[in-house]
Amino acid sequence: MDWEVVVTPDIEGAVCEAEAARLLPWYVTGTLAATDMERVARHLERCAVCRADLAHEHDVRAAMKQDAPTVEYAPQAGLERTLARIDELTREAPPRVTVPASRASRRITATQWLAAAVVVQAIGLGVLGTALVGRPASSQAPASYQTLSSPAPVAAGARIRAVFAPATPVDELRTLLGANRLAIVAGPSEAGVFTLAALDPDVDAAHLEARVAALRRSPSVAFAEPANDAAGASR
Amino acid sequence: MENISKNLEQGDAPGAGNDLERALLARIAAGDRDAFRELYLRYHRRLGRFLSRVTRGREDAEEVINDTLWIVWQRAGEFRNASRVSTWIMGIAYRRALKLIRRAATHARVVSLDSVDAEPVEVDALEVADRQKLLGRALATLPVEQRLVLEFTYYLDHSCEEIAEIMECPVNTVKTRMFHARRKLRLLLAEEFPDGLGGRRDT
Repeated sequence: MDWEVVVTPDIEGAVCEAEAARLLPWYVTGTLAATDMERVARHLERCAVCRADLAHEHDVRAAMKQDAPTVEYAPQAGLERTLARIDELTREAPPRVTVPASRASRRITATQWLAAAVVVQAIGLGVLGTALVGRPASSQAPASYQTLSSPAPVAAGARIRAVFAPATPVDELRTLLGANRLAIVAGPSEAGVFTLAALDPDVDAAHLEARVAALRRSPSVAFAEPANDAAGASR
Repeated sequence: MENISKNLEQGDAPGAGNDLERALLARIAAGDRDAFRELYLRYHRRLGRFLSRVTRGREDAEEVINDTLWIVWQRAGEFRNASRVSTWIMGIAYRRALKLIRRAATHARVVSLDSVDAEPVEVDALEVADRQKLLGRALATLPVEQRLVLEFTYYLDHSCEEIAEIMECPVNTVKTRMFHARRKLRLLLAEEFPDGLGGRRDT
């Protein structure tokens, strides 16, 4: 570890590559160990490059402290939703046991059909959830918590990725999913993709393919494909 | 209580109130909802701020905040006193945010993590006066890992070792990310503020 002044000329300005130069930001915030604080201080006495950097870092820090996020957050709504999830958890299962998250809506400012789609999702999760709770506790999962943003650990395979047309009415969506024995288990992703799971987890590939084909025929579906790598996509 | 609301103001040092937060966690582990409520409100802004730097919008940030605190509820009993509470919670939030970013990257055509956020920055002459905005845009050009190291250091006042714990990487990696981040930021800002970000300075 080099504590000497190591200044290398650079087309973009002189750079000091001493260890002290790398620690400068935490010297600014005063979070270094006492010995390192002292070492950096001693280095600063001798290194003009680092002294100039120090002034700049102070400015950056001050600016970052001031800089407020551009969006306003509404903690109360999120808090209530999260508490509702906790209520669900404690009502449906003993604490600290894996349970697929249910009924809380995932997005706040979604359009109406989307909000309703979440209800459809919740119904699906409820069904799958009941199936899961009855299962013996799995021994392999060290981090056994489950959140709304990670797809519920339902049937391995038997998943479909789909994008619905933006103006799809809820009724239509419900009918479509019901007719094909599918439920929304995750999504919409950033790109608007929903993950659907077959309500009968042991469905075979041919039947799944048929359901994908049925989805594709619907004018409400912009895109559908089997997603048997669902586990990989969710990790 | 006064202390709490003061800390909530902005950019509070995570060290402030660690004892209080440990006590809150202990109560949460025992199923105390009031304690959870308090911790949630304490962290909402802090998490929101750092998440607004890595996620694409308010909905994503809200999702990660809620998921993070939901996990905190479930795992409060597993918290080890070796870390500070804020380091532990930031670590959870960081991993949730990464998952979301990667999921978004899988579905969009974007492939690498770094390119998720590296949007070209055009400096609009009209906005040059607004140095906050410019700083924000300069930060936005950094790879997410580098940006986060800056955020954890300067906004949340975490030490180098704590950041390594949050990001689950060697301390040296944190230092290197910071080194690159500073260098890039400096070059970007130097073009706009030859006299320094803080305005004119005596030399």
